[in-house]
Amino acid sequence: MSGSIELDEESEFSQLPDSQSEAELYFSNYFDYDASVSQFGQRIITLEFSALTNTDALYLLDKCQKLDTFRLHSVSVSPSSSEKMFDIFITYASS
Amino acid sequence: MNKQVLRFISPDNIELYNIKRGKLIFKDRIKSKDCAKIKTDKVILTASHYVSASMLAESVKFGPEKEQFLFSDQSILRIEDLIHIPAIYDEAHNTWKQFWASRHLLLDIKALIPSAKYFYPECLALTEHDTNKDNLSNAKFLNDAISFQPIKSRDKNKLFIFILTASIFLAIAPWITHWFDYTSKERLVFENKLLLVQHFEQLVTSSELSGLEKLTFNKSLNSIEIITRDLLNEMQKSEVEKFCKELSCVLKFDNNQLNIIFEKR
Repeated sequence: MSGSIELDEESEFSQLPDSQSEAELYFSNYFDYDASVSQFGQRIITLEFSALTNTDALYLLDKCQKLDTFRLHSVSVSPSSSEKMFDIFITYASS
Repeated sequence: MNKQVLRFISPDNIELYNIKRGKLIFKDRIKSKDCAKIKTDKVILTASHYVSASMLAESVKFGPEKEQFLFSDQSILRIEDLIHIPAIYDEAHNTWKQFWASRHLLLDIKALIPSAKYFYPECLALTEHDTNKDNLSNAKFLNDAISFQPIKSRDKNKLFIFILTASIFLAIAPWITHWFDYTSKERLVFENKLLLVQHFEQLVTSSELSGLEKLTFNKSLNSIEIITRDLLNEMQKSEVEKFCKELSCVLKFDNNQLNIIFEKR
């Protein structure tokens, strides 16, 4: 995935969690799935959900758009190594 | 093959008819295990196997396209499972009527009747039908009635990209509507999410992609990035270009990657 994130001077979005473990706990609670943080920065965080069924993938895609605390930057979907399963990568930004 | 037709009621209750001078002649009542030896490409579906709905023509301020599904708000089927017949204009009642069914259900029936290709909604394919009789003998069979023609994808990856694209476009649709300043034409396109998906269905079913590597929706950049394992051929490129032209977006090809870039607000 390429591209920069545009930052606003004033933002209604919160700061991202301070640590990776804090972020994993926060997003796992929000999504009700074990979230694995694959990229962690002050202003950007990428979550990875692996080997999802179509139903679960749809659920996450819907849910990731409803989080209003952080700005959704991008969503990626790719085939999982398991047949008929999907991996989803969700990137949020703090502003 | 064309002289017989099956009427599918349930797997254990299937009626076999001969067609003589356009009329059905009841021949036998069979079970699904006996269907494989019947060589017919026509199956009449009883009403429990499909759904239909109508709407007043005045409430549709455009002529529906063939691939357009008008009743997305009434269908409980997942988009990847939906198969529909083009909307039919009923002049007598000034309505648009449309039929739809579950693709999986039809493919399950097709698995029982391997030679079947055309699945006719009973109420479209038959006239002079006496409902008091035990079978449909003497009903007139309209050979040219519109039918469902479910096709099983031979390419799992093709199905994969369709399901993903369909799913994600449904998920992403709320964004897309905000990426555009509406014109009346865009409203028609974007307010009907299924139409949007069906654009992709056309795109995908006419493509022979060997597989999707990654599909990314970048909200910050208002773009969609599709990476496939193989290069797109000219026909696929043409289909994508057509799709993008309708959406008024910018398209960039780069080997096995394509980017669809939407206008910023």
